[in-house]
Amino acid sequence: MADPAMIPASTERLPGRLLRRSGPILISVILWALTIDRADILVAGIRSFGVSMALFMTAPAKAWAMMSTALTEAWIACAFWPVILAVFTAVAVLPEEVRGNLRTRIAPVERLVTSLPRNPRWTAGVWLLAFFVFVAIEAPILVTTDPLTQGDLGTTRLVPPLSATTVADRQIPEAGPGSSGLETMLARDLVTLRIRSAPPERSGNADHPMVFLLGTDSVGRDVLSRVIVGTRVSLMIGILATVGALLLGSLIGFVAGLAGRWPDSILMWIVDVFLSIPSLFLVITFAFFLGNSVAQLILVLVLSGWMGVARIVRGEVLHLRRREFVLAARLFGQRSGTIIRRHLLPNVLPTILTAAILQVSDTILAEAALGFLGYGVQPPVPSWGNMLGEAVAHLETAWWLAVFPGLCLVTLLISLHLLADELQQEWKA
Amino acid sequence: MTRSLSMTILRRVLMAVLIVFGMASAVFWIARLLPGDPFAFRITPGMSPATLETLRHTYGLDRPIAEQYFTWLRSALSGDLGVSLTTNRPVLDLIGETLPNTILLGTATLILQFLFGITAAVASVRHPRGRLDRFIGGGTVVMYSVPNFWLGTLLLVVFAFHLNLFPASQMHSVGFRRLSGLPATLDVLWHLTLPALTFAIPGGARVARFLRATLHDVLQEPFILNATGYGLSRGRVLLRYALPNALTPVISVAGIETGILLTGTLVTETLFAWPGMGRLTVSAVLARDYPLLMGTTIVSGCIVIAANLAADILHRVINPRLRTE
Repeated sequence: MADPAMIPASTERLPGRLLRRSGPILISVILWALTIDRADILVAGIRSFGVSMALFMTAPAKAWAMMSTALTEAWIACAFWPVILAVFTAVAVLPEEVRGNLRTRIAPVERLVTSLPRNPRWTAGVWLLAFFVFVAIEAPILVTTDPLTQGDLGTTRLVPPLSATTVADRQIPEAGPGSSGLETMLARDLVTLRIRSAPPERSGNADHPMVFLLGTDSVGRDVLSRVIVGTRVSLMIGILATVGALLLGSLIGFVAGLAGRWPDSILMWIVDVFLSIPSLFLVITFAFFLGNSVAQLILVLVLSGWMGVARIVRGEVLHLRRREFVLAARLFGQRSGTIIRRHLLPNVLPTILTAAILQVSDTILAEAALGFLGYGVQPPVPSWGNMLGEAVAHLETAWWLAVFPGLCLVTLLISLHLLADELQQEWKA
Repeated sequence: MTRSLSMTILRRVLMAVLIVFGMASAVFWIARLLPGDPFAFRITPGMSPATLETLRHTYGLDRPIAEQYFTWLRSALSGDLGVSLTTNRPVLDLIGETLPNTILLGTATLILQFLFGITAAVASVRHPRGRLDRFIGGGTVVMYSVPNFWLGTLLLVVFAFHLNLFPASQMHSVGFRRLSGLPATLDVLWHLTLPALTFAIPGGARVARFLRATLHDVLQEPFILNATGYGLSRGRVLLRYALPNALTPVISVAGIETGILLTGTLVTETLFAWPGMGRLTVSAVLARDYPLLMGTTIVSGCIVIAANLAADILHRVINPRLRTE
């Protein structure tokens, strides 16, 4: 592979360059448009962070009372937004030479990127996944209406995609409850961020036309907003449960592979026992007895997803322990802890990573299937699975309820499968 | 040679029995060790402590847990899976009524799935890296990423609600009892089409991907070169020489597919209101009928273990290279 520094600086004419950069330019234009459209939310997010910090200084008890996970999520979204915006704008605007310089400056990134596969399938997988992660992180900014509360049933029930209806205006109250100025400010920001909805007597009646891009569901909630929040729910559950399953599975796999003999036989017997129960039966049985809040669901998916990883890791460890370099290390008197850390772990990691990607896809699928059967994340919190489950009741009239969440699910799964496929092939070679 | 084969088979059978035992135990301990009380919904606020005590006594919940475990295990392994809480009928009877329908759906699905998979794989290795190969390769990635419940939903929307070609639910038409012979079979097949396709399309994609890889490997072997050297046509070499050799590993895939299939029945049977064990399980969950849930889980586990055992033995019998451990 040619050294990037050796490639002469671009001598192309401007149109050629523009064409090649059309991707970053398009993305940054969309991002800027969104920034302008959602300016009030971004401002409220950033300001609410400052105000809360100030409130923590003066009245910690009151500040605690106003904290919520939704607020933290909004802060994270508002913190990442300018960074993402800046990166894409820089890529789109900066001259070629500067970009090349920057890229070689960050050597570890460069090394990582060149060690990964390079083909359209990999690129497509990476960009699709990046898109979903972006949507998940920035969900508080991207949603157009409150995804949880019901709409006006008379006007917004089961509105098809792209058709206009008139809805009552959402009005921001002049001043929320609160004694000090800071508190009032925070309360107002919370309303803007839709964490605390406007009091009903204050919401105005001025009707205005509104277009729902992906239609609305049976209680008048915007499908687009729910799909966006569902992305976050599905990805979060998928990733957290995978991390848990990886830790548990790797631990058991390492113990079995290193100990050998009867501990290995017993652990592998347990793996076989759990693998013998069809996956969704196992998940449902765990969920039945554990419960179905988000935290419990993650636990359920960890408990029913570790076996595959354990088996893979055990196989790798068994294979590696007999390799010459491990034997040599042992001969040199290295302690087993050092051998595990220095020799086994780094060599098992690629396999674990590939298994992890497939595990994320399996977990997201399991969560969606559970939600579809009505036993996953509970409404009103949206997940792609429970949205699809709700859609079944309205299949004859409202196709959009089933199509859009499913399309997102399939696209995410495709991107994960592409990544896993390519990594497998790259590392096999 | 045959001695070692029968020894291996005997060992496999013993392992399978051990796993069945472990699985039944695992289901019991999951039910008892996890915090949720499966019994809670039977307790009403106005219940007197004495009634509660009698109720616990009737279900044997007042005895030490180890004793409960052995009693349960003995009855479970002898086929008594307890009584369903919602219908007050033996769990085994309920499963006995629904399982044949699930097996019918499952068999139809497996046949379709392997038909799709084998056709696609053979078509794509005819010209490796050709246009058709790349098309099928891309198509299978998309297809096996499609969750069956979403595919089923789409099939319902298109073929049942918009085109009215297939029925949306159930296994028989309304006047089924008056039908007999061929019309009755056709009626069942007509109801079978959409649920079977729902699973067979993604499943076929999985088979195709696996079989394409093994076919590709087999085609590199010397005997293929030899057969080609004799002047046999590409199609004949592919079908008579490469395919049988590539199909043997697929047998073990069939064992794994059974498990995936049973998982799939939960969703497809619910979606199409197919009166099988999957739907029974889902209704058990929704009604919080835990003996029924434990029963269906154990039965499905046994089916998977049996299918894998059968695949394993068949694989060894067919492929002499695997006969010695």
